[in-house]
Order: sequence, then structure tokens, then C-alpha cells
Amino acid sequence: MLSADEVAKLVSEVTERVIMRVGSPSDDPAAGPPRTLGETLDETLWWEQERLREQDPNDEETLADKQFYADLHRQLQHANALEQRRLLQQIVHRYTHEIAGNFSPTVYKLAAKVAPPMLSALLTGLSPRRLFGREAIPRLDQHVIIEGEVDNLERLRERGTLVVTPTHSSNLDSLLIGFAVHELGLPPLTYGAGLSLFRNPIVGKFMHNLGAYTVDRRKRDPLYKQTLKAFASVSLEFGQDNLFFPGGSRSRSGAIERGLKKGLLGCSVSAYRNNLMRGKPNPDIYVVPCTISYPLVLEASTLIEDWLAEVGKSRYIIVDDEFSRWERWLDFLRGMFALDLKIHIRFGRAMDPFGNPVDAAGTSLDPKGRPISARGYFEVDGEVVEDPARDAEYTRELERRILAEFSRQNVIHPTHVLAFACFELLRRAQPEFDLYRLLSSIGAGRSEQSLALPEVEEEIELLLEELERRFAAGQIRLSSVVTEAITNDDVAVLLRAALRSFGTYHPKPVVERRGVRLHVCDAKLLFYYRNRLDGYALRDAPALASFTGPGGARHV
Amino acid sequence: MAADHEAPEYELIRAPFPMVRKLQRTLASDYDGPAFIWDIDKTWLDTQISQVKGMLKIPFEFAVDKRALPGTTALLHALRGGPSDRAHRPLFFITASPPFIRKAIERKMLIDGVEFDGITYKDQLEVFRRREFGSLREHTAFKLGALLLLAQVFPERIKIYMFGDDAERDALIYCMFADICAGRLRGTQLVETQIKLGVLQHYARDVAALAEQLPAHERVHGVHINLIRAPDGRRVLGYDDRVLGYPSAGAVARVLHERGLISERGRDRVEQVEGAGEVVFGQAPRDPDGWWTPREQLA
Amino acid sequence: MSDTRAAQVSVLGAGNWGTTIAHLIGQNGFTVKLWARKQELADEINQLRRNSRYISGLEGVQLSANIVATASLAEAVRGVPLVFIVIPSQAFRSVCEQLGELVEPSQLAVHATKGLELGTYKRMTEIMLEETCLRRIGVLSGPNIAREMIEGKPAGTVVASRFPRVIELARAHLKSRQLRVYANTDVVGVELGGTLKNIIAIAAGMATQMQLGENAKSLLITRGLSEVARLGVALGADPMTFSGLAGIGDLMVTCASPISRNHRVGAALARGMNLTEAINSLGMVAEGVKASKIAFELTNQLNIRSPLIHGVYRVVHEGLDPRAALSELMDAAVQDDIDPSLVRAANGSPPRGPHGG
Repeated sequence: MLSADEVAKLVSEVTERVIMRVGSPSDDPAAGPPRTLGETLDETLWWEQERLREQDPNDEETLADKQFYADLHRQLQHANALEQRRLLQQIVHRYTHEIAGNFSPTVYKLAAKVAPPMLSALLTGLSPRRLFGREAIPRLDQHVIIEGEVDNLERLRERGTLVVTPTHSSNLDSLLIGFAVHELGLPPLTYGAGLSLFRNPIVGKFMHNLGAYTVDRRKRDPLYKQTLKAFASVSLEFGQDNLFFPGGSRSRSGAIERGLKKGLLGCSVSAYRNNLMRGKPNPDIYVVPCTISYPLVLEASTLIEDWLAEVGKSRYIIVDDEFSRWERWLDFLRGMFALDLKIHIRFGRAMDPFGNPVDAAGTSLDPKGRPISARGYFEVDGEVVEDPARDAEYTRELERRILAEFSRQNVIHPTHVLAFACFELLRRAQPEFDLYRLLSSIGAGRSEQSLALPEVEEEIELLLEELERRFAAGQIRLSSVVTEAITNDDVAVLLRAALRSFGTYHPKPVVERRGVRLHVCDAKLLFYYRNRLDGYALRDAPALASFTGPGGARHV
Repeated sequence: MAADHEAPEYELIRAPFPMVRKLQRTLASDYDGPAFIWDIDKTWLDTQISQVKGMLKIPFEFAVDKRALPGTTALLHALRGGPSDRAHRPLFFITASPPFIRKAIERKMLIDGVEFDGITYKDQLEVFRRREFGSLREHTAFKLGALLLLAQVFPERIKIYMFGDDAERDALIYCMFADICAGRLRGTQLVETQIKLGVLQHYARDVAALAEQLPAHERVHGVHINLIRAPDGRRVLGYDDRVLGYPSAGAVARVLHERGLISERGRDRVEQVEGAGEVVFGQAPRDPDGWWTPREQLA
Repeated sequence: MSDTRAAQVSVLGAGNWGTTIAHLIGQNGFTVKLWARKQELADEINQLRRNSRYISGLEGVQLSANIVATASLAEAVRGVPLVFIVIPSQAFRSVCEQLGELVEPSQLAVHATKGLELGTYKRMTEIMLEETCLRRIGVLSGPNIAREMIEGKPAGTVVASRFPRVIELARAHLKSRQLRVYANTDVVGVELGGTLKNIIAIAAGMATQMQLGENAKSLLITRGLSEVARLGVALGADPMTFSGLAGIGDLMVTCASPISRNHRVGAALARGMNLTEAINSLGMVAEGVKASKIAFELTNQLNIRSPLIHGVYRVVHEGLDPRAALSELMDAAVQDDIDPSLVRAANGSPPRGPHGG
């Protein structure tokens, strides 16, 4: 854990590093030729003033920012190179401070201890009978299953620095990872969270104290992004275990990530390289991919709406969704506890920053499991050297291997199976429809689509056969109910579980049984839950990408 | 039949008795397999709807807090699945519970995965509004009416298997229904028998009028009574052996499996939960004319 | 073996092309290790400066004295910063398996093998990544007839890698007044170009044999290239690569040279031989025979229109009469000269294929 003193050191290190980079070629080949000091300042001024124009003019922060940039503008008019440097320093320092926030290690420690029992206590208020009765209080740890390669994490953490990279479906993810890390007896992770989370009425106040630093996605200034990246790098090099969601933002489509943000991902490569070049003790960085699989997703409705809008090119940042509404939280948690739903947090195999698996002792292994010296990847004539193009390529490979691990560690719930089966049947019935026409042809209000139960059961059975094969080949994971359905050849148990979940949390049931037919009441959500099984080429279904074509959604 | 404006899938029925019904399946006219008709209170759920106190409690409870009688949910799954586990056999509920607790009940069904094709609630509010307070706790006319309305939409060759409990008059009402279907109990005798049981005259007449429209056929093939009040089966002994009482879901599951109605797996799953005791068959000799209803109950 | 300078580069595979590459590097003044599977061949190279099995009929030419041949893979690989792998595609994986025991992350590797793995459709760089810890890897490809290069005739070639250092180091060893070495970052495109062109060469061989004339041959080559590019783009290649040395360049030399194996297979088939007879007359399997099967399956899988590739496949593997195949081609619907999918891909980013990346 960082002391206040160390936080200050971190801020100054980041500032120094960003300043040093200005005027030298960028890591990112797409960034074009290096900017001069003056150009960088002009650019920042332009982007920030552009951003401020769209903000609420009465907001205190906005006013302060406006003042700052007005002053800067004035001073910049007749600044010499030395003064320009000082101004730049001011900006980066300001950015870094804002990113670091008011992090207090003491409060943080306390919060990590108190949060899980508090969440449990909150839930006991849900059922009066449970509260007053003799029945057991629901416990979070019975609903969040922490599994996978967790045994080595403690040892790896002692030998190096962890970068936990989970899939991202919900804003609950960071809280759950916090919970998992706590349960595993590991110290808390540092992570960047969107500004909207800090403004969230439910968790906003705790964010800094949960180890979060601020990421303001409205700031498009390249200097800000550089500062952010430097912050992540430096905190890694300071030995802080990090959490970041490599997909960038929550999966809009419901599918697991298809591409990752290489900027932040690259920090693990560059931090390892810097550690080696500086001869730091315990220089190793271990990347730990991890999947978080929900049977129901708190913000599913908002996310899939955004995906559909996004594919239609209207891009916006979600600030207000289910995550900021108490009653949705309560509904969600109530559903989870009442239906005995399990959220799976599954840790995959830890990797070195090149994507090679590491053993319990942190030694990198080649594809055939032979120990290798990963340092060699940086070496030219025996020396570790800097080479941004090379490291970008290593990052690309790391991305590929994390994605492959995501795909293997994805835990499939009954809701995903039922949604996939129903969507497939509906799609096959209307082969000439594109996605939008298909989705708008289904659901209440229009001619509601229904499917005969035996037909759905048969489709599920075929799907389960394929899933069983993939599971046996280690390509996917299955939740306990899905496994039960396969081993007992009992489709009914899966169907019941899925219908129960679908009928419980969402305002409209996603799928509802009436007599011997299944009615799809929310086509978009059906599509959302179906997408979790996308990309496995199951039942010869077309991939999500083919629905959208090039330039599709963020995650495709 | 009017529709409920708030929830259009429910029909408001006023004759022969005020009730609210949801039907979600139409059976093919040549269907000659089994259909199951279940009571809810004390047959499936461990509730006390017959008592005002119990009735008031239900809407304030969460669906998950309601308890099913041990093994009955598995029994419902087994019956629905049939010998193949996949048959989706017709399953209907008739309950004296008032419609205002339908959300809680149907939610419980969703949570337990009880698939049903129709459910009829007794419209207690309407009975209250009519100031017929005696009919609040007397369910004969309601149940006969609800059963007859179902029989009307059923294919003629269907085989009905009925499930109730011994806390009320389920056995008697089911037997009367069997005799009505077969054409033995109709007209004045039906009216008088109901009145003898405490049914208001106008309801008794309406039930009889409805019965008159039904073509005479044997439809009922079995009556199964959960022994909740008298576990020794005392309250079914007066019927013949077409009526059986069961002390546990597992006990009746064994018989149902022998009779080819549920699969072995279905039976095992019920027994896993609760399988104690053995069923008790009615002891009265079979009536030569086929009557299910004991003569002394008839007017 | 008297040479005591430590070699900084090695070539694995002492076949026709591997020996040529080692010779070119040696002529540039670098000590180069050359791995031959057989001890006798290594001895012949070291002692007589000759490779009679693979390079014959060049009486005046002596192999470079800087070549140190060895039959030990370990000796060839250990401690060498740059390794060229020049192993026929069917033996590629098994050599990489052995290589996996010997190499280290600090080493760089470039392969010069044309072809895809049968059954898996994998490219050679994919096999390298699967079998070894090597990451800084690349591919060498282009219009390079070994014999002409041994004779000292001028040529150009392409080294493709995502790692600038790989290109830099490979170029440093290969470039000379005789050989121009061009760089490319599109590994997928260069590997596919070198493989798929062989299918078109078979078609060109048939056309030559059938004496269809130069117009027809040109038609086949350009339409063929367009099909190759379309498949390549679907697999993740950059369409521009196919207009470079590893694309059109390699295609031209293969189609023009009557001594190319693929060309000869096409000609044999057009003379009325069946595939087995054609292969027997050649004494070796032409890469295009395998490639046409793989490309046929891939285009079907990816739903890509490729009448020429399909025509060659059916002549080679299904015994269709080349004349019938040709008339089918001539009767097929006429499309745009430049395929719209290529225009799109050239303007934007190419779509990622299942094997791309």
C-alpha cells in the first residue's frame, strides 16, 4: 500500500516522465511526428477549451478549469521555451493530481474490511421474514464463486507485481474483484475508474478508498491520455498491484471482449522493461486474465441499447444507468439471493507481459511448457534495449493471449444457453432479416414471437452437446446447472433455471413460458444474453461481427 | 366473459361463480392422454389460505418464503414430464385463493419451475361485494364451476387425474365432478346436493345449468388426496378405491409410477425429498352404477 | 571447419533454396552455419563446397567458403542471434519441435518456406509461435529462382516482420549489389502470396501447354491474382502486399518460368495425365497441388467467390478436363475489373480473418 509520501512521489515521477516524453517520438506509431513544446500546449488548450464549452457553465469545477486555462492562455502568449516548460509542468501536475485523487490508504484499508459484510447486511433488509426469522442471513461469498488458478497468486505477488485483467460487463465488476481479492487474502488492487463512478450516488464516495484513481473519458487531450498511461506505468513500477479492464469499457453487446485497449495493456510490457533496465529487485510483472460471469447483468438493458445505438454510430458516454439507481440494485441483489444465482469470478493462468504462461515460481514457460528467460525478448546483444515498435508487437500478442484465455475461462449460465437457443430458432425462421429487422420483429407490442417448448428443448439439447465437447476440450467453462443438465441429460433443469432468472430481475421478462410455448418479451435482452456465447461458432450461427460489418461496435 | 383491464391475460368470470382465470394452452381435440388438476393450498403449498389470517399474510410474503409441501414440486415436475420426462402433459390449478395474491403464487411457480397451463382463482372480492359472506369459506360451487368450465374446453376423451387434500372437501367435490361428467349427477339432484353442502341456491342452479351442457362421458380416472389433517387416511376411507390418500409425495409417486404416469427418474426425485408412509385406498365397495360420490352425501 | 569466427547467423535446411541463402550470406562476408539433415551432405559442403543433391549442373560455381555446414541442429542454432529456417512445409513443424528445445527468447528467426500446413491451414509463422518461444520472427519471400541467384544474377526479395529489428538484421546479412531486400510489415500477406500464387502457376502451365496465347495467360494471371488477394484479405492480409514483390512479383516469375514445378504440373495435366502421373513425371510434389486443396476449402468456408482456384482444384483433384474447366471460366458472369472488396480493404483496415492477426 502506498503512503501519502509515496503518492506524492508517484505524482512527481509521472509528471517528470510525461514532460520528458514531450518532444520525443511517441510509442504509438499512429501518433505521427513528435510535437514541439508549443504545439503540445496549444493542443491541450484547444481540447480542454473544446471540452469545457460543453460543460455546465455553473459547475464549480468547470469554472475553476476555465479560469486555469484562461490564465494559461494569457501566459502562453509571450512565454519563452523555459516558461513553456513550466506551464506544461503545471498542466501535467494538475492532471496527475486529479487522477490520483484524494487517496487515503487508511480509509481504504478500513473500507476493504467493512464493505463485504455491509453489502450482506444491506441484503438482509430485503426480506422481512428473513430478517426477523431464524433463517440464515444471505452471504455474499455463497453467491460469488471465486475459482480458477488462484493458488499461485499470493506467491506471484511476492515475487513481482500483479496486473489483474478481467472481462467487463458491469460496474459491479470492480467491487466484486475487490471482494475476491479480499477473500483470497491479497492486498487491494489499484485501478482506474471512470469519472461517472465517482459521481455515482451509491458508490461514488467510496471509490477513491477502494483503490480507484480517476479516468475522465471526456478529456480527449493526448497529453491527458499520456499522463494516464504514465500513471498506470509508474504505479506498476512502484510495485502496486493493478486492476484494469483491458476491454476499456463495459461490453455493450454482452459478448466477451474481442479486442483490448493496447495503450494501457502496453504498460505491463513497458513497466517490466523499465524495471529490468533500472535493475529493480522483483522486476517481474504478472498479467492475470480473469472472467466475471453473471447469470443476469445489472445494466444489461442500458448496455445493449447503447450497443445498438453505437452500431448506428451515435456514440455517447453513459452517465446514468441502472448502476446509479438504488431500486435496480435492490432488484438485482434480491434476484441474486432469492434465486440462489451464482456469479463466477474465474482466474485464468498468470502470464508474463509477453503472454507466456508462468509457473508457480513465476518462471515464464514456452508453448510446450519449457522454462525460458523472458528477459531475452528485450535483449539485443545481451542488453535490454528500448524499442517501441517491438513492444507494441509484444502487446498485440499479449492481447491475443488474454482474449484466448477469456474465451476459455468464460463461464456459461443457463440464461446464456436459453437465449442462444431461442435467438437461433428465431433467426433461422427469418433468414432474410438483418439484425435490426429481426430484433424489431420480436417482442411484446408487435407480433410477439413465441416458440414451441419442445422445439426449444431440442435446440438446447443440440447446443449442450456442442458445449459438452468444447468443455471437454478446455475451450469453455460451464456453470453448475449447465453441467447438471448435461450429466443428467436433463434439459428441464436448465430451462427452469433460465426462465426463473429471466422472469425475475428485468422489468419485462426476457423470455416467458405460457402453457407449452415460450414467449420472447424482450428481444434486445435476448440478443444481449445470447452474445455471451458468440464467437464459439456454436450451431453454425453467424458471429456477431457479421451482423454489424466493419466499423461495428466497440467490442467487435 | 370480460377481461381484466390491468392484466389482459386473465378472464373475469361471473357465472356459475365469480372467478378469475388464466388459460394458456388449447389441447388438440383428439388428445386422449392424461390431464392433471391440482389444488394449491395444502396440496402444493404449505399455506393457510382458508383462514383469513393466512390469506392476509400471503401478499406480504416474498415468493421465495412460501414453502412447498415436501416433494410436491418434484411431483409436479414428474407429472408434467410424464414417462418420457419431456411430455409436457396438461396441468391446471384451481385454487380458492383470491386473485390479488396471484402475483405471489405465480412467482412461486416460476421460481420452482412449476409449468402449468391454466390457473383459476376464486374471486373472493366479488363474493364479498355481493355480501354473500357464507360463500367466502365454502368452495363447493366455485370448484365445481371451475372444473366444469375446464371440462368444457377439454377434448372429450381426456383422462383427468385430480389432486387435493383432506383439509377441506376436495375428495367429495372431485367425486361429484366425476359423477357430473359421466351424467350420473345432474339436474335437481345436483342442485339439492350442493344446497345440502351449504351452497347458495342461485350458485347451485348455475352450476347445474352448466353441467347440463356437458356431454356425458367418464372423464375422471383418479382422485389423490394429500393426508394433511388425518395422516391415517380416516377421511378417505368412506370412498371406494378410486380415491386414494397419500401421507407423502413419495408414496403417491410410487403408485403413479406403477400406473405409468411418471418416469422412474421422476419418482426417484420425489422420493429423494420425501417418501415416508404408504398410500391409503378408499375402503367402500364400488357402486354397481359407477357412482364415485358416496350415496349418503347425495340429496 | 577451420573457421574460428563465431557465426552470427545460421540457415536451417540445406536444400536448393536454403543452400542458396547460405551462399548469398557467405558471399557477403559473414560466417554462416548451414544445417543439413545428413552428415554426408554437410561433409560434401564443407569439403567440396558443393551440394550435388540439390544444386547441380552449375559446374563453375563453388559454394561460399564462409559456409560452415553441420548435421547437428543444436550446433547450428545455439547462441546464434539470427536463424533462417528453410524447411519444406511438410517437415516444418517437426523441425520446429526440435528447435523448441534449443532456441531462446533473445533469438530472431526468419523462415523462407512457402506453403500452408495441410489440415490445419496454418502459416509457418503460426507454427513457429506454437512450437517455440521465438517471437521476433519474420518471413522471406519473393520472385527468387535459386539457380539464377547462385549464378549471381540480380534480384529483389521481401522480408516481412512486425519487428523492425528482424528486418534490419535479415537485410544486413542478405543485401548485396546482387540482391535488393524490401521490407514489409504484412507477414500474413507475404506468407499467403508465396503460397497461393502456386495455384495460378498451375493454371498458367495448363494455358501454356494448351497454346492459348499470351492474352489468355495474362487474363489468367491477373484474375488469379485478384482471387488470391481476395482470399488473402479475408485471412487478414493487406491487399497492397499482393501488388508487391511477394505478390505479383512472385506470381510473374512462377508463371513465366517453364521450369517451375507448378508450371510443369499444369502442363502435364493439360497433356492428359492424371495427378499421380503428373507428380511421378516430376519426381516431387508441387506446392500448388496442396495449396489448391487448402484454398478450395478455405474459400468455401469463408464464402469467397473464386472460380479460377476452384477450376484448378477440380482439374487437379477431381480429374476435370482442363478444357472443360476453361470453358466454364470463360462462360462465368463478368465482374468488376477491380474487386470492390479489395477497394474497400485498401481504403480502410482489412477485416481480420480467423487466422489473421
